[in-house]
Amino acid sequence: MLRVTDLEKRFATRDSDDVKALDGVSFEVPEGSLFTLLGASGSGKTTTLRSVAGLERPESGSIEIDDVVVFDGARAHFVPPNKRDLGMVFQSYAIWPHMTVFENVAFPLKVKRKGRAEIRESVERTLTLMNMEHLAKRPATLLSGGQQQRLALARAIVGSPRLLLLDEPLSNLDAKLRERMRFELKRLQVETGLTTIYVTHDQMEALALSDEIALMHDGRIVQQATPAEIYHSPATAYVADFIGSTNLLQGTLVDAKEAGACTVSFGASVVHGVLAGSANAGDAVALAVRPEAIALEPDRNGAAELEPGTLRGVVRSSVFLGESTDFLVAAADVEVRARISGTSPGFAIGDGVRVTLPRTGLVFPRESTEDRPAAPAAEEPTTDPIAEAVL
Amino acid sequence: MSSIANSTLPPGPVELLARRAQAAARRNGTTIVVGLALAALVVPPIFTVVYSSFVSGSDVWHGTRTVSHYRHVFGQGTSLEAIKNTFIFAAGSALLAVAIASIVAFFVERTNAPLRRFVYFTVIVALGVPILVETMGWVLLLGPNNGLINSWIRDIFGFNAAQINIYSMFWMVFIQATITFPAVFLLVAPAFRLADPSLEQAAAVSGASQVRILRTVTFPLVRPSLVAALLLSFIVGIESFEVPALLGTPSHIKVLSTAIYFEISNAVEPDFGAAAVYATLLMVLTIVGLWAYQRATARAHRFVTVTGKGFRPQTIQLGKYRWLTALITVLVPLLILAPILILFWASFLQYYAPPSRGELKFMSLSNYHAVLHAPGFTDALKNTFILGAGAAVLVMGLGLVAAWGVLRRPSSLSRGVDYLGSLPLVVPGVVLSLAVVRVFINFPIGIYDTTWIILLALVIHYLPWGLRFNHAGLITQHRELEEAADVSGANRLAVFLRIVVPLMRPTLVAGGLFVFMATLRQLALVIFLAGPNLNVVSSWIWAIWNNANLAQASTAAMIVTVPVLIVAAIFYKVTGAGESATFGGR
Repeated sequence: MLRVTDLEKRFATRDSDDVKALDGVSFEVPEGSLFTLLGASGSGKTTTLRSVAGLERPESGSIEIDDVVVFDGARAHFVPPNKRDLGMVFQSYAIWPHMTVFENVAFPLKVKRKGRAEIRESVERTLTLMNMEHLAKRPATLLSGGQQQRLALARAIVGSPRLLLLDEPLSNLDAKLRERMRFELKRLQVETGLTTIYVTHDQMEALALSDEIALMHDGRIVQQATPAEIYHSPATAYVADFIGSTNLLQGTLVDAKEAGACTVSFGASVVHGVLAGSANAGDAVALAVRPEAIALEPDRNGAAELEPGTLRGVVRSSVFLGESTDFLVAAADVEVRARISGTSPGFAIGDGVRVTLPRTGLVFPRESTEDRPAAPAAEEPTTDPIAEAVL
Repeated sequence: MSSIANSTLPPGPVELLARRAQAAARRNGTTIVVGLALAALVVPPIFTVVYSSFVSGSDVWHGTRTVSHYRHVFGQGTSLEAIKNTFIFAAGSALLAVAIASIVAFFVERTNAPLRRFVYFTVIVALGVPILVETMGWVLLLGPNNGLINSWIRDIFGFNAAQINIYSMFWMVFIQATITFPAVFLLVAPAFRLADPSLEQAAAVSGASQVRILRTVTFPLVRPSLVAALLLSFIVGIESFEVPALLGTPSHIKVLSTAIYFEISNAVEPDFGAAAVYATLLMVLTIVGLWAYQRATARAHRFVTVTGKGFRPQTIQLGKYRWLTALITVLVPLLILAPILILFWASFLQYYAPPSRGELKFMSLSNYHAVLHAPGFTDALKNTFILGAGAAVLVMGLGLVAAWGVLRRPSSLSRGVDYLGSLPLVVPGVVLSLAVVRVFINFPIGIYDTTWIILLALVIHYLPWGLRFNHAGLITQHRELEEAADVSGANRLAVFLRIVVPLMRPTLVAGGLFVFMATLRQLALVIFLAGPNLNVVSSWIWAIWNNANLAQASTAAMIVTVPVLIVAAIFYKVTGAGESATFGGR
């Protein structure tokens, strides 16, 4: 349905070097699926979407929609956005304030010179689909945030476009509404069967909505996979760090066996894991462990020998989250965040605990993670800004 | 939509290059077309006037190149005199206007002085009155024989008392200052209004006295605005034509703008070369002024006094001296309104006499009857309104397309268009008038001596305003509003007509009204373009005033002032008075 091949785009900056906004982006989206471009700001996700829309013009590469080439850098071929047959929801919604709700939705049909009756029928059907048929005559300026968002969606889908493009459509809504609209979007996408490209920086949104996710970083796609895959087997430490509030524990590789099974040491403790990538014994590695996969128990017998896969630590702080509680534990020479579900937390700050890590944690070679965030983030590997925001 | 077929064959390098060029042209097409249109409008007059200062003979393009005009002009000594006079006149009026305006603005914005709203009202009224009309009014007030004030002086101090000589540099400066004052006031008043009061409160808490706060905090905060206003009024003074022409001529006080005029109009044989030299000098002076202005305002951004936080400035309670300040809030409006009121009086008298109860019985509407039936007047009136409306539409239309290119398709090309459109700012009205004549007098297309040539001059002159208005309006429109229409399948024309223009309507209306109003006030710009058979109201009044027909001149002045005031009222209703400060100008 959509085939994007090797897109490259530079942005001129005031200092010497141009910044590569897109650095060889390629992906394919099958008919009827919801494909998400996920990434932090500046990762190139919005530039990619705008290139598909024809609002940006890459330097090279090609874009095909429905087997029709809409952009080909090598042949200097470029189809302007108004001839690409798209629907798009913008981050600002871009509702035209000088029109009513009806007129906003009717615009794409009007410029395509559809008949009056057909326009009325399509607009009414779409407004009904969005549960806003009663607002048709209202001036677009008199809508609430959620209604504006639905209007923007209605306008994008009214002409049954070949491709629906959504640029952070939920980012301007408050948390409650955002969650509700997430379901609404999913329902709508399934009902209409529109092939959809979704851009977001919110990993929860991406996981909840997508058939497939492409995680972008520094103008490149770092990993493209289904939500479950990207969550459970991140390709790199960056992906692991970005998706979910993962612990990335810096240790040393002790040995690696066949099928990736390996052991990592943190000071005196040794932990099992699965090696992703190649590393030799003695290399610095990072063990990725989800907070919810970690078990804590009171350290009653301080003198006893530690079993493999277990660390000894002290609770530094705790955050009560309702259905679970997060504990920050200083163990060996790393800090571990553990999420314990249930209502009775049971640990106080300063308590000695035994931290049990799962045997299935992924181990990434530290040096080969070239797409890890730059210097400042690397110094504090366990602080993930996105995860912080979610917490 | 391209077919799949042509994707199979890779294009050759020549075809590739052609396609790239075609794509660039399509993307920047609007900008290119507008750029060419602006270049065609702006470049020929400016180039011709500068070039012709270096060419001898009456035909610009077939004369020999020479610096004799410069030698001639500077050899006379009067030219240095003219430069000196221009400088004194512009600097003096700017200083005086800013001094008055900042004092008045302080009392209006920051104290509980009485009649503050009245000041605003008169300032807005004054902005709508043609400068020629105001100057004529001043002649009736301060003129040597019939002048109202002088006759009062005679009545009080006797026949031999010293009289005010309005035809002197001092009074020229004073009168220009009263004319520049309203725009300056609207420029500096917001600075007083918007200064963050917490800065003053901090000084007060530190134990500073009221006067000390004014000196050390309040005034330094508004200083950048005052400097900007000073430079802007200096430029206005340099370009001023009406005041020096009416008041400087009888006593042979020449400034550059009137020097140009007299080289052409009153000479037996027009000396275009000398006029072009003066015009070039005038442009150089204006460029220097504008350059200084731009530097001053660029630096002013460092003084961020407007924080965007909602606050009300502290009003200083004047206590028992409150009534004293009424002197300021009454006197200044009176200074502005007096020339208009005396013209109003004069328009009802067939034979002018200073206002007195004895004259009341001679008042009639016969002047109005006479003017409306005077040869050429109704044509001039019609021309004025048609030209004003036409210029407003063209200026705002061109300005919108150009500003769109600058903001939405940023490139070195569109930046060039921006500069091109702002270039007329350095061309004073008299110079542009001369320049347009020089271009078209020998031009194959016969638009010389038609209304088209005046329209052309008006459009060129107000282009920078059109650009700035539209730039300011468009920058507040989120570009995604247009992109949403692009993606919806609308072509560029449809996006423009159905999204951009409707969203920009408030800007277009306000800017259009401003340009319309400004054209009604123009004399300098049409001075060489109008003729016995081609008049606008201002040039008609100018001619009739020079024929010493005071009665009809004042009546015609009233007839044109009333509609201007109505448009001015609509303009301020549409924009809110504060915004117009940016475009105050003349």
